[in-house]
Amino acid sequence: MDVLRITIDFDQSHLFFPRIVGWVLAALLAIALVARRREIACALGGVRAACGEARRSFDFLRFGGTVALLVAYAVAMDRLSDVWPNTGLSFLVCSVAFMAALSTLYLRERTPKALALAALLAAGGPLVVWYALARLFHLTLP
Amino acid sequence: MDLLVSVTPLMVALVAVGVTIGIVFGAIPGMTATMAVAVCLPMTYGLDLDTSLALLLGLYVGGISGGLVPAILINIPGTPSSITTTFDGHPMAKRGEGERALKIGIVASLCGGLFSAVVLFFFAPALADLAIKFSYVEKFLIILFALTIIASLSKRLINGAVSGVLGIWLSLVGTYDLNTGGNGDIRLVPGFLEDWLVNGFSLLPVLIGLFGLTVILEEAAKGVPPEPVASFKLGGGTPFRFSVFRGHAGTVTRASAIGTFVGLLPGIGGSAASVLAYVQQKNLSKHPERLGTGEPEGVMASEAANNGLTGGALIPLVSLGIPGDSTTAVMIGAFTLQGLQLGPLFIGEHLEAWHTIMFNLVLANLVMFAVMFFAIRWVVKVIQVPKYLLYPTILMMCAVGAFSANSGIMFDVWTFFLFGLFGYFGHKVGLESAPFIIGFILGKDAEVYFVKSLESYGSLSIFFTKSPIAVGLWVLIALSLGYAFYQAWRNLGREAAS
Repeated sequence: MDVLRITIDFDQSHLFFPRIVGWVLAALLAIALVARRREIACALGGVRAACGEARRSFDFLRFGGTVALLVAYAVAMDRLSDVWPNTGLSFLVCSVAFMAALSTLYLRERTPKALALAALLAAGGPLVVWYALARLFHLTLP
Repeated sequence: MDLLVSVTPLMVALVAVGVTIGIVFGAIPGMTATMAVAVCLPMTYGLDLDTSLALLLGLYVGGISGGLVPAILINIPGTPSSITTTFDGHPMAKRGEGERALKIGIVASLCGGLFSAVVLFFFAPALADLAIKFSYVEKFLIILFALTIIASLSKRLINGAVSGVLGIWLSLVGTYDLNTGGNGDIRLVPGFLEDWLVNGFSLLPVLIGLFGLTVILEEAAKGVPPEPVASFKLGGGTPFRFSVFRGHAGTVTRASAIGTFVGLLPGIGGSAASVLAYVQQKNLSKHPERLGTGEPEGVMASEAANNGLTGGALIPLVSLGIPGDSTTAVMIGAFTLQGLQLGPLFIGEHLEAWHTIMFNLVLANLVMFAVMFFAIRWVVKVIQVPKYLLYPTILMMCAVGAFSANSGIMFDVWTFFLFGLFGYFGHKVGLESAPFIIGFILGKDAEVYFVKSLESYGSLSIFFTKSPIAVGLWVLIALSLGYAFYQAWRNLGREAAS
């Protein structure tokens, strides 16, 4: 008798391969946990010191600001696309605001020259992209 | 002459645009050729395949080549593949030979790129001819081999393996496609997301998120460090002359061959190619003690190898449908957009596209040489482009690219966002992007080949007994795993010793 013989039930065939991959993934994760148990224990032991160190070098404002602005950008584009459907204007308006805010967030020294450059790019960049994609290539934009 | 039949002025212009943008991405530390291709993919939505390829291959070659500029001038590799260029390039720059080192690197890059294009031209059709005879069994084993290589050459074997398998698992999300013999049922999707994930995660938003957003989030977490403003001296010392290559034809050819071969192996980045070539150069050099102190041959070996990778990485992509590195993985997105399937039948069925690839690859290398060699004094200024202007522009391009990938679906923007965050936190726990994305790209094919093999033959034993090719592939898989375990064991020994 062939112990390697396998019959695949067609109704359940969509789960056949994902189950195998899931088991392999679980096994690999278990091996990773065992193989790195010392590092994990060390990390857990020194978690307070490590967290303190990480917190000092982590820029919450710029990281959190990037995430928040991206979420706001996507939500605003989605909402405004109902107001101006199929014109790309929602993309244009939201991108100008998004780029201006993000450039200002990333600026280390907010000198008038740097702010002017950021404003210029925030106004011009999306306009060029909108014109090229929506008008020249006729792509669907939000 | 067939190669020139479909060439248009637009195509040539797009190669030049692609090379220039690619050089900018490559020359800015932290940004890579992969990111350049991912971010610029939306530009190809309105183009046909030929012109898309012109732009993308330009970006690829430019992105790989641009990395030598900061590597030589400020000792920071612009791309991972330029890491060994810093060893000799920067010491040369410090003694006033910056321009000479850059030009040596540019010429070596051209040689590496052209060498790999020649190998691609002759080897890819031959490999495709062989692969055409593969049944589902051999196709599955090829994918398994690719994944074991990727895992074995990851920074840590187990992390690479987990990343690759996680990529496969996420690629299976959605419907088991009727067109590939599936039963049309949905799997691995929570009920409230069924409307959005019926076809799974779309490839392009995943790529754009993983290679665009992740990098910017990492930079944001570090506070968007200011661009390097250290002054650098281009000239002053020994001027560049082509005679510097006299006696080094072997160096350049050997390094190009190493780069091309490493590119051929799926999922291995340019850093492995340049490190291998550099180590080899050190072993064979007449003056190994001088390498690392500013020797031109060190720059030649490193740069010829990383550009040799370009043609090499296209070989498995074109002939097997398996990307050779993360950049060519992103390029699969462009082919998918055009409705083309890469693999053994590609060259035969799309001869014109194949000729276009070859023409554009050669042209991209020549344009790269012309732009960088003759305009090097302007190119070096790219290092100082302010990030506060660059990153918002890139994120806007990423968002619009994700949205337009499937003709305007907002969920794709959320996918891009989700996978950007996934990449950021994944890197923190040791997951690696290259094995993940290659697993993601190959996962669905692996399922089809595996299930169909079992449906046809009814036994797992078929994977071992189907043909001599299958046995050969198992030998390669065993060798790859053996090498991986040996490396892991050596690393453990080193860690214990230190």
